[in-house]
Amino acid sequence: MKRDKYMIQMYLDHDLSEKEMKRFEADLETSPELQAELVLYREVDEALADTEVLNFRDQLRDLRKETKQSSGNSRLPIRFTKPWHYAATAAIALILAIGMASFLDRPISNKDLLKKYYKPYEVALINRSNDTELELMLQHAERLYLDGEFAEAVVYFEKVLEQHPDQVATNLYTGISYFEMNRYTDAGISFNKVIEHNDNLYVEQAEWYLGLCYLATNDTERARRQFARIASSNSDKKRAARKLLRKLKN
Amino acid sequence: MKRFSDEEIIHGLRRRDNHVIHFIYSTNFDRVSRMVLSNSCSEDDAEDIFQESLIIIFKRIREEKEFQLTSTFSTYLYSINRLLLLKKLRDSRKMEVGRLDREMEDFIEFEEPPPVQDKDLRLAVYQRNLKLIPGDCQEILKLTVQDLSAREIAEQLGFRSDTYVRKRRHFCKEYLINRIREDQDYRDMMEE
Repeated sequence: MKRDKYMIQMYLDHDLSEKEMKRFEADLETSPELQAELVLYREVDEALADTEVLNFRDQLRDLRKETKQSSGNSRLPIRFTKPWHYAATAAIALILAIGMASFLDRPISNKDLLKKYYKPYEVALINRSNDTELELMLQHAERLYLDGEFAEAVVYFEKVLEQHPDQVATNLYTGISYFEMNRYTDAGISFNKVIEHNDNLYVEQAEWYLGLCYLATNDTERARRQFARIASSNSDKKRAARKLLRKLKN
Repeated sequence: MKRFSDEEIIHGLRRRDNHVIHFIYSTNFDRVSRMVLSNSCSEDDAEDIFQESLIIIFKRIREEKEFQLTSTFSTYLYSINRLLLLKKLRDSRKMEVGRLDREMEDFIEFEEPPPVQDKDLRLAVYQRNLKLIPGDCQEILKLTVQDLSAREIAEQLGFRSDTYVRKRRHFCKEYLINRIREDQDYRDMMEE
């Protein structure tokens, strides 16, 4: 059976010779066990290929984790009566946390680092003279982005990318929009597209935001590697990356 | 928390909008959890069943461009959760379960269970197990099904050679398949 398993994978990868293929298919016809194995291998490949559902699974898991953590932390005896109380308290706590950590030269949590170092990239709205449907869609997306309507904006950005997948700026804005929606895996995919394209003005920004994605998902090791890469480059972000690296927990 | 209409929920799920997902959990999870717990299952089972239900709905919305609800979203969601729980109970206990906890069934509305393919549940087991194998294995296998060559995978993941990727790929696939075979849910399903 061990040989059969190896042959199944070779068969699926189209790596069998003609002779081996004929023999395998003859075995397949007479062996229900081998047929069942082949179905299993094929279905596993199907499951692996559905990245959208895999990402959705991650998203649901992260959301539940986050919700449970925040509900665990919410059992405080203090009662606030106005929304600004929460904002003020959060700001004070953050300042204190970062201040104390800097003073003591100790690492602070990834979440607090994210609050300190993340801000969305500012879109420069361009009045495009060529009012094609695509240009109008892009303008609409950028306005939504500027208004902070990221979930709506991303729908239009994605439509633009369907026709022009190499538009690096659109990929960057899409990444930021996903980031704002806490969909860090999707954000990372968008930033990687900008980085892989390489020959553009947005690579340094994408590298930076990709590091923040790792931070947001508590993948501290990858975050560290990413910021170390930025810190040792000529990026505009190298100083910020160095500072952030010093504060990253071990 | 902002409230969403059923139409907005479907639209939001299609986009995987976190606000909508939060809203779905906050308005439906407790009820489903009670149903699962009152049928001798655990809190983890409730989480798994609820998550699978959302994924099934997401896939349905993705496949059907003109997806239409025939009841409220909550009833639809509850019905799928109920169906998954019944399947779980049948698979794990190898017995016919026609009704869940009688008291709950009498006061919570549900519609005739929409069909859920067994294949959907098997794919869920495969994907769950994928998350349990080493990170490099996950990456190699995901890139392999995207038709990347061993050389391209080696370059992308920073491995020394494509020979290493080929060997590792074979090991990873076998490892994943073995994990799946040992998965209790998978075993229950296959022994049906």
